[in-house]
Amino acid sequence: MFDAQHQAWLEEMRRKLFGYACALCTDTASAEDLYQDAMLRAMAAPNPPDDPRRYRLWMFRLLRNLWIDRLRRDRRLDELLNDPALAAPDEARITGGEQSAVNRLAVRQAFMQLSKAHRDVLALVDIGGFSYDEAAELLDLPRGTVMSRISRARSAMASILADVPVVALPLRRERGQ
Amino acid sequence: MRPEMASDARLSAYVDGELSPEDAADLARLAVIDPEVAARIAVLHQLKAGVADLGHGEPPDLQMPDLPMPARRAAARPVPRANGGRRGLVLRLAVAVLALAAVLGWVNLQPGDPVQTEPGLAAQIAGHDAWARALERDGASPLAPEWLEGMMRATGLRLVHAAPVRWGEQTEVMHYAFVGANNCRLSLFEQPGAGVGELALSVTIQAELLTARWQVHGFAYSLVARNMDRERFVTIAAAAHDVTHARAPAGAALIASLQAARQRCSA
Repeated sequence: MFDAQHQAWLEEMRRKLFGYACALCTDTASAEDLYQDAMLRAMAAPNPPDDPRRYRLWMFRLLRNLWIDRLRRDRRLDELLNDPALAAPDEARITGGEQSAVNRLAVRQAFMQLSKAHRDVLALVDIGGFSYDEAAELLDLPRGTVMSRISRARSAMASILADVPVVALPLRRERGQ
Repeated sequence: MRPEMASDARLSAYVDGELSPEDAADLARLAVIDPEVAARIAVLHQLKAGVADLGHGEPPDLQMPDLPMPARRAAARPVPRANGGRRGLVLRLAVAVLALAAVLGWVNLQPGDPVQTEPGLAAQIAGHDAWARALERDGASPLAPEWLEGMMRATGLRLVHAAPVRWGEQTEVMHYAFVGANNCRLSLFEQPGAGVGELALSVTIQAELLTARWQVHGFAYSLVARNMDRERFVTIAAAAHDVTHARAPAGAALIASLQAARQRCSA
């Protein structure tokens, strides 16, 4: 049963959980709805995990499953399961240089243009703070697949950023001058 | 340099701290001597930081434990009427926020028995139980105080009893009792002479027993129910608190949230 310990754990993770919901959904209202649904279901769950690590994984999985249910309801689950970005050859390559110094707002905009599957895995690692092993467990995928998806997602983001006008951050050497 | 040593996947794993210490050290050495690798790592760090930034937003209308009031105010905000779907969402959110803020803030979840309460509340719980038993035996005798009517009707509960009750030599408490479908029974106790200070709403859940207490305008209020859906009870408690605080009937949005929170009682 949901108790004070679970309450404390929820309090600790709520921002990241909401961030994950924002990453999965394309609009804030849907993210808020998803987040609230997940919290309520967590409170009502008869046997939530009593280990903090397990509880965190369980909570993110709960929210993700709700998201998948909504995709299924809206007949959009195929966009996740058969994401062409997952099957595409790994052609994009991160490049360095001045053009790649971008601000975080642009990064976020690029993130929201990623496919659902890429947003999903990247959000678990970058927002949720999960290790590759934990993300693999949560997504029921091999660790190598998670590693590959993370890399492809970032490459795709870099490509998006390279194609759109972005506001350059002051480069380090400019700040030093 | 072997190409695979600085593949995107390895560099990503490096910025995520997922390489072994030996591999990470190799890559760090490579970054020192190869500016392009260093630049790619820098880009990946920026990408990671930008995405991580998404996780720093404030969740909607959520309350810290010591600030319960704004959540209910937010939940009671006027509901947009232009879009029916959005309205439903807002209502469900209002209920969700109420319940969530309650659990994160006001609700004191306690293990099952034994039920331990202070004497005044214990008397009120006993009063609620005695009335519930008498209702089964004698049936209802409806009365209808104005200020509660709309709010409680919205919850699906019907006022069936309103009478002063005396506990001890001095304490006289007004007892309002409500019934609903599926054996839902709820008591509201209003005790005058509570002083000028206000006490925030506090909800306690002990197994099947749900109680809520607050103090406003010189009255101490207690709400008692058994086997009621937790979210519904918290929503009712918040609404009752608001109408006693405002000394006015519940607003449309609050009534809508109460209607949305209707759930069957389990006993």
